[in-house]
Amino acid sequence: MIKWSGNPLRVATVLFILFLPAASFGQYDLIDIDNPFSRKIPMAIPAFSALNTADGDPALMQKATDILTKSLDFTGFFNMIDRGAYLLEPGKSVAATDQINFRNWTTIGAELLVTGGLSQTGTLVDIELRLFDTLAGKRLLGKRYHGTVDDIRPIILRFCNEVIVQLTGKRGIFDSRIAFISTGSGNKEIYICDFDGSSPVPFTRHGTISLSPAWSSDGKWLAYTSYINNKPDIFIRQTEGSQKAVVMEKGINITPAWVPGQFTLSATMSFEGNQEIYLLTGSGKIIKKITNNWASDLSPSWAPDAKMMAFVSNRTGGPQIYIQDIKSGQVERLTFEGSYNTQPSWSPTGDRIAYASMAGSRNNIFTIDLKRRRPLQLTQDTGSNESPSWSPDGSLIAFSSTREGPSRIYVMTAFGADQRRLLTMPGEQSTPSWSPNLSKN
Amino acid sequence: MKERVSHVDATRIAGSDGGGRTLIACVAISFLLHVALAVVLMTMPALTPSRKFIPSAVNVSLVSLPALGSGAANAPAADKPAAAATVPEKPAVVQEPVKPAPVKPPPAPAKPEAEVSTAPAVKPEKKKESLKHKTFKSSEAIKSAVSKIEKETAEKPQSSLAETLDRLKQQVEKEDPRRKAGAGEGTGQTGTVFGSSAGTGLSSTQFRDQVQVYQAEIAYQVQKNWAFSELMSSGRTELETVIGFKIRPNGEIADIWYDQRSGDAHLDESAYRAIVKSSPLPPLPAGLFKGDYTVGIRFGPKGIK
Repeated sequence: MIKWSGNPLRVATVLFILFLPAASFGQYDLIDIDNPFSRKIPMAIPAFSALNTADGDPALMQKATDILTKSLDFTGFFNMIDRGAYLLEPGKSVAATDQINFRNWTTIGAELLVTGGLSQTGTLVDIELRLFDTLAGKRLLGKRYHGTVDDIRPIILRFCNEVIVQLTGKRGIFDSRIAFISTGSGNKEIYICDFDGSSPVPFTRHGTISLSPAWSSDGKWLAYTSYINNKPDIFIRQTEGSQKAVVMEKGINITPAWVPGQFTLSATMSFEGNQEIYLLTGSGKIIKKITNNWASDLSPSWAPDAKMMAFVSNRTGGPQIYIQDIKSGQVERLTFEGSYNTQPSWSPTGDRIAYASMAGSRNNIFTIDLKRRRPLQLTQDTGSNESPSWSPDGSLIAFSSTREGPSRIYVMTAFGADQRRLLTMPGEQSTPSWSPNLSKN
Repeated sequence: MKERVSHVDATRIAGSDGGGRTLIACVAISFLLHVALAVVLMTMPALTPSRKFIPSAVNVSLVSLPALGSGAANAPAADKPAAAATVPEKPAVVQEPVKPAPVKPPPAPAKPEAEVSTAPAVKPEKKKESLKHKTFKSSEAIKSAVSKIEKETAEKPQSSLAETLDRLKQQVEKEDPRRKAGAGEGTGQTGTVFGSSAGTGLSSTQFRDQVQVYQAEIAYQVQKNWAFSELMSSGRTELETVIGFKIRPNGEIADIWYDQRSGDAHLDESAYRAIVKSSPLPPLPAGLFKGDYTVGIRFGPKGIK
């Protein structure tokens, strides 16, 4: 080799050095993998155990286990491993300690393990919750909570939030609520339920038609349209408090949407004749006109940075989604597929807009990414699906659907997976509006 | 249209006293038509051809791998044509050989079937002579098809692993253009490994092939163990994590380290876990590597497909 070396070897050496970084990473072969086998993280949640030797109330334990499992499952992040597969001695639960035989959990494929312990003295409870990484064999989170029996749900939800923060670095959805319209009382009234559809309570009792609830970005205000004065006016109300304001200009006053981070909102009004979108103060005073076009402009939805606003306009014929730069006033058409696109909802992550697209007499939910402008259809062949609304972390979308006959509220992931009914109530439910995170901390 | 023409004619006749009125009428009609066209153009929204919508994403939970099941499923299927084969041995009945056709499993060659089924339909007058001949032929054809299927079924369980590896190998090669380019360069690409090929007695292509087969096995194992949720990540698609690790001769994964973090905690950790879960890998092929084999995996979720 060395004999005939000389120049060629030097060239070869140079080539070798030149191509080395491109061909391999560090000093080894590189294999590419771009398609995860599972899009959910396998998680195991064994039943709660008693914290001290005295037996806890089995019903309470069961309740706590259910809340924990259902809440984490609701996120769509995890694949809950069937309890039947757990390697446990029959009738025994996993002690709420750090002494875990991780092999029992890695064998059944669990990457994450959440254990809970509970002890009850009178109406007071102590709850210990832990999150483990089974493969690394270490505890990621450990919390002990003290409260009354009624606090079990808030305690567990608080822990769930910590789990999500630990795993993703972002807040979860467990502090959020969903406002929607229900006809259960015989009129269209606004109700508010928890993120998972539990404990719905009426918010309006106007005895007329109330529509389009919209949360302010601090979650303290709700704006909506109501026909109390026999025409659509906008009502602005504190969610917990008695302050309120009404926007009752001549003509229609509809589709309110709050500007993120501000006590201002936008709404469609027609007091000048044509339907245009106006900017209003939180107390209902008109600040300025945002859109100006001969066509009707309505249904505003704001980008999380409040620099852009999406809305519906029929300026080119059928209704389509447009986006407007607030500073420059420049308007751009966003949707070109389908002839009837309405109800834009800007994702809290800022990169996508969900909307309803009508074909025939049925709506379906789509999202369009703002970079590539490619629509992605999320619902299909399941009745009419409309009114998309994003969860505060942008991972889920609530919407209404007639797939089971009457219109009800459903939830799916941001990519259309795991579509399930949110709640069952008398009457029909529609136009869900997902709140921001509502907790103070 | 006809009406309009006659209307114009009528105006012309009526307005024979002066060309001015005819002209005004013509201009008016032309103007109306233009307005009508403009209105139609403005109010027709969907003149652009609607593109096909992208189907939505669907979650599928896999309970078990299909490999074992498919072998078992084929067995009863193979019995059926055997039963069918006995049918034509009866004194040739016109319809008989046609009937078993739908029962046949898909792998059976279509040709003999087609001959049998088209014959009575196309040339019913030649029935007797040609049918005897063809039925005879078809029974033979069915027999051979059945034996072929049986053979295939017997071979299947063995070949499926080899097929999978082959497929993965092709995939890995296809997906990494850099690897190909590197392979072209020869010495550069295989890095630590190439040095040891001298002692194996393999040609460099043989050696490279064997290494790639083993790499395909690694990719298969790790990919199978990778659970990553787009919803939990920051949602960006250009994320990339590179993790290096050492494989002991017995297949055990020894060291694991990050060579490049993506900045997305969920991706980094999910990738790390996938490698931990993949230990032990299949033992290193004998004589291919000197000591441990160091390899890196680049995890780059491409988003929902």
